[in-house]
Amino acid sequence: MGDKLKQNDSPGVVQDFEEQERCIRLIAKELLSSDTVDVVIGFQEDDIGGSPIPLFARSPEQAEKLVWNENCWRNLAPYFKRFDGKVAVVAKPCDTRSIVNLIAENQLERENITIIGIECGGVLNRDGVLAHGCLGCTSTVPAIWDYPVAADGGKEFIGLPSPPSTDTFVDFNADSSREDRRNRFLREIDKCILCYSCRQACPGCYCESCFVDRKMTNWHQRDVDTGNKIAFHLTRAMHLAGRCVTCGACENVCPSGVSLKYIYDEINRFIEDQYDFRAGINADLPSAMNSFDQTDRDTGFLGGEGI
Amino acid sequence: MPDKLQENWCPTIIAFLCNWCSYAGADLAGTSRLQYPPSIRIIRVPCSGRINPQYIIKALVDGADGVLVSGCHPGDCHYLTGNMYARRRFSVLKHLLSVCGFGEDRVHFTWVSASEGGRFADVVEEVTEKIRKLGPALPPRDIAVDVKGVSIDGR
Repeated sequence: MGDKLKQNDSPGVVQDFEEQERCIRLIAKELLSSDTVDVVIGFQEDDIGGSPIPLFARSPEQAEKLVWNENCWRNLAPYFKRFDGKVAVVAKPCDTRSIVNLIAENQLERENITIIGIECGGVLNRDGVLAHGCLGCTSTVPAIWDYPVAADGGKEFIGLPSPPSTDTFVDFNADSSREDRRNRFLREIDKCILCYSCRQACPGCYCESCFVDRKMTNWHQRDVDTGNKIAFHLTRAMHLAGRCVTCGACENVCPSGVSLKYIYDEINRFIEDQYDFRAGINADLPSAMNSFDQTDRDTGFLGGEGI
Repeated sequence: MPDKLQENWCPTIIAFLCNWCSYAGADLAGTSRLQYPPSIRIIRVPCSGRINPQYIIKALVDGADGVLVSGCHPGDCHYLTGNMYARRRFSVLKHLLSVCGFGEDRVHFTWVSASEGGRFADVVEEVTEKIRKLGPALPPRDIAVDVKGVSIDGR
């Protein structure tokens, strides 16, 4: 699993999960009993002992089953598509960034969703180590919220410290040689089995018909070979350019431990550098690839600026 | 590869040209009887904004030696803003390919207007020369990755 990380500190040294869980249940029951929302999307314990799975609570009694603990790594934003009416969601900061992105792309109506924003200092993935999206995460406070749940269960966010990041976390290195970059990429996609779990879990991959599923104009063959893997991962990275909110859901669900978040991070950095845009911050701005500026530079063009 | 073959080898370059500027520029190069290498296979598209980055990725993955993409100069787009969106897309794609170390020196983007027949010939000359230096592309399907993750293909 790439560079497997052992956690130095528990992520929740000052985070009171039990108190937060109590608040979440209280808010959810209030929302459901007052008919403010039709359904609350949250976490529930998995019957077979895995990480908490999504719960769709439609009554105050069902809201009793809501849980919140350090294993709640799933991103709940992709589940919105299943509901038409008023929906409330238990959202970590990364989930709220995904929601901002969905609102910016007209996939969600802001007035239809109620966000229970949770202050979060990092969660563990199913291997019991700090989840991939949490490494280097700097926003412990939700981007948008209706009901705040601070780290101590209060209403005022107390500003949790960022999750610990260890030295073994190797970011994209711009000075690396082409061979290094190529080998790193090939090494990662070599593990890929083209199961498309990453696409399934990604809050940005909401297309009704994904290019890998289309049979007419068969852009993507299904044989698991290096060419198809390169085509899939490059195309997915292009689709998510300027839209990825680096929640790490793709890596958290990957059954074979493909770690390509460094590519998404690097593309995000490039887009922020060139076009001054970061996904998941402001729902009123169109995404970088949906807009342009007359003064954009010809970066990467023949005779233009190098990269 | 023997030197003689290298000398005579002509790469296969897929050229995506926009209908209104670059394709007309290529036409002008032809009607002006300008000589340029017979390496490009032109695909005419309505606008550079019509070019899905996937076309370029697909061309590379299926073994094209190079890809040339050309559209109207910024500000001259027939559809006013198509090439503005395209510019961002291509910059990001080029950076993405560079991050992955896959094919970034085989993909070239440029602007050629309808009146720049000479420039079109120069661009094809330049791109062909660059790709000739790299040698033929190995189709990625044939890239073998050994257990330690070091690619066998040196290119």
